[in-house]
Amino acid sequence: MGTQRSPDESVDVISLGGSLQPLKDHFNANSNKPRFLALLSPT
Amino acid sequence: MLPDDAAEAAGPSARIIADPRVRHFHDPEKRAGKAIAESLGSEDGLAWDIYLFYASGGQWSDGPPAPIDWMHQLPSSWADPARFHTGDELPVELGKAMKRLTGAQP
Repeated sequence: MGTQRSPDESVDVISLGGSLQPLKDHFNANSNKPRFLALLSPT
Repeated sequence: MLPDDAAEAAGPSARIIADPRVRHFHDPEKRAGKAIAESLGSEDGLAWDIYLFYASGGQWSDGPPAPIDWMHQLPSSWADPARFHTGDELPVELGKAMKRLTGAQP
């Protein structure tokens, strides 16, 4: 399932500060498919 | 969830799973963790180190839909201890759940 990026490649991390709406929108935009969600600590 | 968790840590961690199908979010107020815990029946719990599988069709409105399967790595918490998996067992159980979710042949 994909490969690791190099340390200097950027990855978009979307902030949920103030609202869960970006997560909800992404979750619902893919409702025609099964979905996997993991809540992990980055450290 | 941990004292050193911050937006600055999320970027490098996100690079570990660099698949175009994956979206990474940083949740400084732990809203997702609270919503997920509530969806699993905990009134005041906080979900993290948790893996959830959702069937197609379910929508997140006031809260997320009920997952068809889930598992966690919280050793002592509100979460169902029967769903606790860690170490070598975790990827095996995640793989089984993913196959059930997607209908993939083992």
